[in-house]
Amino acid sequence: MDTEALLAEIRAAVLDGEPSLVKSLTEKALEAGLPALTIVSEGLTEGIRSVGVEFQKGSYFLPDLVRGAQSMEIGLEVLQPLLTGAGEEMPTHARVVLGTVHGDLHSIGKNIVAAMLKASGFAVDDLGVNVPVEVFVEKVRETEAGFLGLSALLTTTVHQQEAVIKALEAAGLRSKVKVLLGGAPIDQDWADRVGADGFAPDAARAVEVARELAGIR
Amino acid sequence: MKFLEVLSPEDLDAIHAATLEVLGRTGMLIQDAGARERLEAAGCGVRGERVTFPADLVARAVESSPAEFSLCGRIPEHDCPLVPGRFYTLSTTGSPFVIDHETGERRHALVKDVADFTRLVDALPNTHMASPATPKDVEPEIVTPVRVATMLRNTTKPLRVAVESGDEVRYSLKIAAAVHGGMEALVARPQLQISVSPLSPLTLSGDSTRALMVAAAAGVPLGVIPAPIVGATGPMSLAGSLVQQNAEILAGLVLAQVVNPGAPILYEPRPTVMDMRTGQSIWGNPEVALLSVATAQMARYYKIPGSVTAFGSSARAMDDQNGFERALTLLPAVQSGANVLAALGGGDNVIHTSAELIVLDDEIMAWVTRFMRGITMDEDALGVSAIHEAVMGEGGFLALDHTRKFMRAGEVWTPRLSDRRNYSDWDRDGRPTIQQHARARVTEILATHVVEPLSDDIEREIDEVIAEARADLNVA
Repeated sequence: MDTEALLAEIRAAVLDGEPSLVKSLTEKALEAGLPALTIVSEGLTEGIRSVGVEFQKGSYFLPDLVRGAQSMEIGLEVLQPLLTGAGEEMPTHARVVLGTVHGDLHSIGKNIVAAMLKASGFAVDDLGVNVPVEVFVEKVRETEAGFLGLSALLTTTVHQQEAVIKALEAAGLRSKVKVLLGGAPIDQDWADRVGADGFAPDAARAVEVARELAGIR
Repeated sequence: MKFLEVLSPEDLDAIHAATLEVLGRTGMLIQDAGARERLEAAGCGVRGERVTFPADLVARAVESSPAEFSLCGRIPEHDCPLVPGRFYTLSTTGSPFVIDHETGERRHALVKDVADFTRLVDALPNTHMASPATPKDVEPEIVTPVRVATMLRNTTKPLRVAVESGDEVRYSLKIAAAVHGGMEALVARPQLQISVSPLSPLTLSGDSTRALMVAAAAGVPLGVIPAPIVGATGPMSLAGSLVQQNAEILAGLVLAQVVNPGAPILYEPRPTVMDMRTGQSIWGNPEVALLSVATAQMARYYKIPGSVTAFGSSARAMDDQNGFERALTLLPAVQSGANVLAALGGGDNVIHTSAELIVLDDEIMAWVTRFMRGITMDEDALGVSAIHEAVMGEGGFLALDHTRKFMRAGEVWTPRLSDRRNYSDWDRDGRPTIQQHARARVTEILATHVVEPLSDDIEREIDEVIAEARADLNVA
C-alpha cells in the first residue's frame, strides 16, 4: 500500500474512533518506513482535527469525541519512544495538566474537557480525581505545562481550587501557568475572586478559553 | 386512579435479576473499612475496597425496610405519611445559584435565600417539604448544619437535606433534636430526612458511607440517591441505568439494614441524561420522565416509598420551554404513584432555584392535584335530576343548587396565578406574564407570611450546636 493511502486510512480510523485499527495501522505505517513525525502530523493529528470539525458542525457527539481522542492517543503511544528518542517534539498547541480537586471523586466533566482539549490539539496530562494540592503543583513544575485545569463539583470542595492557586504562588509557579476552573458551582465571579485566569461553564467553552489564552485563533 | 406504568411485571423481574448479577459480580466500591467489615460479617464478599452482595442478604434487607413511614412536620397538620397513593412535593436541593427576586439576575445562593425559599414552602398549599439551596456565605464544613437550622426556623413542614459527611449528619440531627426535645422525640416524629448519594457508577465514598451509617443508626428516614447520568456515569440504555441505580440503592439499603434493621429507607434516585453535545446533565426530557415512572415502579416492587424527579427543566428563563418541560415531566411522575415529587422550584437543570419557580410549581401542582382527584362518580354527579331541572325550569344550570354544591366541593379548579381575564382587561393591565404574576405572589408571601417561631431556649440551643460544630470542625 502506498504511504499516502496508509495515512488516509489512519485519518479515517481516528475519525471513526477505532483505537485497535489505529494501533495496527500506525504499526503498519512504521514498517512501511514512514517517519514517526509524519504519521503524527499527517495521520493522527489530521484525523483528530476532522473529529473536532464534525463536532463543531453538530454531526458528531461527545462519545465520538472521546473515542476519537482515545484512537489518536493509542497511535501516539506506539510512536512515543521514536519521537522522544529522535529528540523530536510532539506538535501540540500547549500542555495542559488537569484533574478533580482533593475530596471530590467526580470525573465526568473533567474527562469531557480532556477529550475536547485533545481533539483541539492540546497535550493533556489527566491526574484523575481526588488530587491533592501538592500533586497538582509538582506536575506543573515537572511538565512546565502552560495550563492547569481544576475541576470541582461539590460545593464543599470548590475551596480546594483556591488552595491549589495559593500553593502555586508559594512555589513560585503561578506566573508560569494559566489556571482554568470548571464545575457546576463555579462561575466567573468565583474565578475572579480566587485569582484564576479563566473559567468555563462547559467543555466547548474550556477549549475556547484555552485557545484564547494561548493566543491561538 | 390506576398508576401509570412503563414496565411490565416481567420487566421489573428482569431489572431485579440483572441488579443481583451486578451486585454479585461487579459489586460496589465502598471506601470505608468499618462498613466493609460489617458487610463482610453479614455475608458480603470483600476484595480490597470492592464489596459484592449475595441475593439472600439483599432479600432480607429489602424485607426489613419498612413499607410505610411518615415525614413529620413540627405540627401534625404538616405530616406526610408515605403510603401508597399519597404524593408530596419537595423543593429543590443543592442549587449553587438562585435567580434574585429583586433584580432577576443569577447570583450565588445565600443563607437568606434558604430562609426565604423555606418560608415560601411553608406558606404554599401544594408544596409539602423543604430542601435547601447551597449558600456561598457560610463555610463549606458547616453549610449543612446551618441550612438545617435555617430551614427549621422558617417552616413547620418536613425537611430533607442531602449530606456529604458523617459530621454533617451528626450536627444536623442534633439541631433537629433540639427543636423536638431530644433524639428520641425526633425519631418518633422525624421532621428531618437525610439523603446520601452513592457516586455513580457503583461507588460509596468514605464520607458518604459514614453519613449513611450515622443516619441509619439514628433511625431517621434515609434516602439513597444515586444520580447516574445516562451515557456518562451510567449506561446509555435506560434499562441499564435503571439496573445500575437499583444496584446502588440496594447496596446502600443493605448497609443501612445491617447497621439498623428496620431503618426507614426511601428509594430516591435522580437519574439524568447527558446532552451529548454540551455535556450538561439534563433534567427535563422524555427519558427522565420515563425513568421517574420506572423508578416509582421499582420502589413499589420492593415495597418501599419512592421519590422521583418531577419538576424538570433545562430552561434558564421562565419561558415556554420551562413551562412545557416541567409540565410534561410532572404529570407522568405524579401518575407513577411515587410518594415524593422532587425538584420543585429548580431551573437550568437544578443549577438554580428561584422564588418565582417555587410559586409557579405550586400552581402547576394544584392543577395536577385536581387532575389526580379524577371524576367523581355517584348518582348526584351523574346529574340526571340537575339536567332535568335546568332544562325544564328557569335560570339554567347557573341557578341550580347542584351547581353551587359541586363548585364549593372543588369540582372545577380555580387557578391562583394563571391569567384567565378577557383580552381587553389583560391588555389594559399592561399584558402581564405568568412570571410577573408569580413575582407579585412571592413579594406578597415574603411580606406577610409568618412562621410559628421557635422558643428562645431552642434558638439558643441551635446556636450552641452550630458554635460547637464550628469549633469541632475547625472553622474559623
